[in-house]
Formats: sequence, structure tokens, C-alpha cells
Amino acid sequence: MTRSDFEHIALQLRPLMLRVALDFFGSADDAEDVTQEAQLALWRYCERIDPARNIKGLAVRVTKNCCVSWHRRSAFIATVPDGSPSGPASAFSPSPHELLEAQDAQALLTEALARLKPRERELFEMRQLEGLTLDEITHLTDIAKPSVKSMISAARKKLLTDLKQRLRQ
Amino acid sequence: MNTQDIQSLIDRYLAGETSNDEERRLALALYEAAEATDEPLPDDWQAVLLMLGELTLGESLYDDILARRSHTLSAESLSMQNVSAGSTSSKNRRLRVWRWAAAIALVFATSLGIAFYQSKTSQRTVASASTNNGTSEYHQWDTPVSPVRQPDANSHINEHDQSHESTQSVASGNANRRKRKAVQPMSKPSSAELPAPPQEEGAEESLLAAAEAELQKGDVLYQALSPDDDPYAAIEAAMRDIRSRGERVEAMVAEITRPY
Repeated sequence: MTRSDFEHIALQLRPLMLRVALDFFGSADDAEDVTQEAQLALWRYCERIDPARNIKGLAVRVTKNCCVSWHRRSAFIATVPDGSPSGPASAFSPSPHELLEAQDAQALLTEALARLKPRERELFEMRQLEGLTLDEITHLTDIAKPSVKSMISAARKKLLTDLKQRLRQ
Repeated sequence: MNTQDIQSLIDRYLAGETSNDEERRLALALYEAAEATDEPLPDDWQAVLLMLGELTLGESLYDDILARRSHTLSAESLSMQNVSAGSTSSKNRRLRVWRWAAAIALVFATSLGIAFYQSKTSQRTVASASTNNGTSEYHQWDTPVSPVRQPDANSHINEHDQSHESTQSVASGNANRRKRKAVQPMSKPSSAELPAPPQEEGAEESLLAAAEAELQKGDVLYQALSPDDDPYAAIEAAMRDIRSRGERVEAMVAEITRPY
């Protein structure tokens, strides 16, 4: 999906993402901010999104993730005394070590995914990223449900073995 | 969720048998296990947490936060309901007490009013009796209203007839006075006290005259039985007198009934 395509879809996704954020915060201002943050995350990821897929599930999951991040940040601001020299936002930001560990873990997963067969990677991403059920994947891919289940299981086991080896190194 | 539950969920996850909800619960359990200890998680668990991804973990945290918040809200609303229910029950209790107090006060005031009215009534009765000295007004205060006192035609007839009889003759006046005394003004007149038909007035007068004569005889007997005289002698004299009267009557009867 190109970024221009995403800009058209983003207008359609916005009410749904705003409702998810409003259910969580109850405040229109916070929900607006979180929706913008979630749309920014999707915009960065949009070139990896298949335009034929249903993007609504992914948008909801990304919005929920942004809501949790925003909530953690707000909770941390509430616990930090006023007049802190470093500032709440910077204080909440992960340490460089934690940031490096997270980047390494993401890189490990990306490399492990790259070593999967294309069909296995596709089914795994449909299940993990988009949150589709086996029946929905069966409906979208026209693959039998037992086959979908066995391919997803094989992909997970391969990833587990690969990630365990990488984590031990 | 303990270690065994987490491990069984991981096995099912790797077999592709878990649902979206179970995968979210697994991600949350692994995240909480990592947060609970400073030691790193086993490699299997770390790898599964990576595979589940940030999105699954964020979604599970989102649901967890909302569930806790709704639980807190429901607990607060429950406590508020309890507080409001407690205040309502205390209000109802106070209202019930006031109702009872009002009812008791009403009964007390009513009894006081009745007692005051009765005392006033008795005072007025005594005052009326003392001023009228037993006249008909005194009787009007004390006499209860009863259906017997209702005026009827027979009582008027009786009174009218009695006044008529009292003017007829001097001989029957005493008997009439005795009859008036015997008749109770409050009672309903009986059939014997009703006025006799006009054609029987002559017979009634003769009967009254006979009764008067017998009374005079009684007076003679009473006079004969005065305590100053000898009772036996008086009785014998009275018997003689009666006997002589009887003889005279027999002679008169024989004279009357003698055939011509």
C-alpha cells in the first residue's frame, strides 16, 4: 500500500480509531492525540500492508497499543513531582540499554520471519499482526482450516527455534 | 496464572490451537512474569513473547486496564449505592417514627377533647338542675332520646280521654287520679289503658262506685283495727256489722224477688 492510498484510507479509519481511544480515555482531547499517534504509526508501516487485506483490525490493534503507551506515560507524569529538571516525557522514555534491547529483539524477529517460507510468513503475519482468526484466514486465502492451522504451527515452531538460538548467542 | 498454565498455553500456541483471547492472556502472563522478577525469563518464554509481538501485548494490556477500571467503577458505584441506600433507610426509619409519634399525639388530643367535652356537659347539667330545681328542663338534659319517646296518636288519645274523664264526676275523680298515677308517661299505652267505648261508660261508673264502697269498708276495717282497741272485739264487731248488712241485703233481695 502506497502512502497516498493510506491517506485515503486513514480518513475512513479515523472514526473507528477515535472511538477506541475515547472508550479508553473518556476524554476527547486525549483520544484525538492518541488517534494521531496511531495513524502516524500506521503511516510508517503502510508500505508493508497488503492493500487487499482488511486494515481495520490492524488499525484497532495499533490504536490500543498507542492507548496503553499513552496511559503509561500519563501515569508516570502523575507520579513525577513538578519541576523535574529532566521532564516527564523524557523521564518516561526507555533507557538506551532498553531501547537497544528492543531494537535487537525486533531485528531478531524480522530476520527469523525472513527465513520462513513466504506462505508461512504471510499466514503468521495475518494471525499475529492483523489478529485474524483461523476461519477468517481460511476465508481470505481459500486454504483449508487444518492446513492453515498446521502451517501457522510450523511457522511458530521454526521461529521459536531460530529465536532461541539467537537469544543464546 | 501459574507456570504450568503458562507452559500449557505456550504448547497450545505452538500447535496453532489458541484463540485470540488465549494469545492475549498468554502475552499478558508473560509480561507480568517478566515484570515480577529481575531475572530474565526462560528462552522459550522470551521467544514466544517476541513472536506474540508488541501489538498483542498492547491489546492485552488495553483490555486489562479497561477491566480493572470497570471493576473499580462498579465497586465505587456499589459503595455509593450502599451509602445512598443507608441514607434512604435511615430516612424511612425517621419517617416511620414520626408517623407513630403523630398517631399517638392525635389519639391523645382526641381523648383530651372528649374528656373536656364530657366535663363541660356535666357542669351544664348540674347548673341547669340547680337553676330549674327539677323541672322539665332538667329532665330534658338527662333523658336520653329513645324511640319510645316518639309521639304517636295513641298517647294523645289517652291524655285527651283522661282529661275528659276527670271532669265527668266527683265520685270517679279519685279513681281517675289513681289511674293517671299508675300510667307511666314514658311507656307505651297498653290495650287495657286504651279508652273504653262510649256505650260502656255506665257500667264502668257502677264498677267504680262499687270499688269506692269496698274501699270505704276497708277504711272501716282499718279504723276498727286501730291499736287503741281490742283487736278481737273490733273484728267481732266488724263481723257483726257485715252479717247484719248481709241480712239486710238478703231481706232486700227477698223483698225484691218476692213474686207478686
